[in-house]
Amino acid sequence: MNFIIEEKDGIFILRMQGELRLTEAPAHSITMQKLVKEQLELGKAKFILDFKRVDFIDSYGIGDLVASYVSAQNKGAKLKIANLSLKVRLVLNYCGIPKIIEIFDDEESAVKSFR
Amino acid sequence: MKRLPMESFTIAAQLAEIDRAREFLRNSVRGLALSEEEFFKLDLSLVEICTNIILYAYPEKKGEIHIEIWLDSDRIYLEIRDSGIPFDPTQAQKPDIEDIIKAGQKGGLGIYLSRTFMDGFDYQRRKGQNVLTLMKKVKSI
Repeated sequence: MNFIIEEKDGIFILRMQGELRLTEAPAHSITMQKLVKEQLELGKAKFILDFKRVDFIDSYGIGDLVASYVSAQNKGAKLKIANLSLKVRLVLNYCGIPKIIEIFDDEESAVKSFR
Repeated sequence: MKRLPMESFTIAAQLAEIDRAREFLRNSVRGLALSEEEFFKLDLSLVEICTNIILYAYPEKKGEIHIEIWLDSDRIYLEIRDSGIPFDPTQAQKPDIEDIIKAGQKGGLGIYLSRTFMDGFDYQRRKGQNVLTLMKKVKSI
């Protein structure tokens, strides 16, 4: 899993690329939650997780996503998701994620929602 | 009726081996007209079950996972066996995402996803092994 970080209009955007699953975790100690927490410590309060280039997610990936959301929520920050592939959307829907995290079709819509 | 000869594969119960199991699945169903979604559901279910075995079945961190796959008519069967601690995943409760958030848990969804994505999810304890048989109906073979 590769992470690309960008800040736009005061919004921390985390673009992910690859498969979000446990198998890769030991080799890649960086997680979504770790990156979100680092930015929370710096006072960031708006987050978009961009899944455009994520084509596989397992329950570990869902756990990392939920943990990121909880970390943001605990600091009074807002975290939203954008650009889900059909497969990732399928998994998130079955896990009930849309009940707790706002999902946008694309990054631009997610950015606009913060204005 | 189309039949796929039964194919078998064994991996060490280690996270790094999961890619080999996925490759075995991909090669076994090559040539079948599975939709992207059908294959994804099989792939994810295999990953989740193998991960669960690797994390919990062998406390001594040493063991194997045996995988067999076959096709019968419009059904793909995936049998996953381990010789670890007896565990019946069919008894696992459906998790609630809001409870998971409240409890601050990171896991608990893997078995649920696998079970939900399959059309059959059968467990037996047989000859000292956990034997889990997943079945997926497929539309166009």
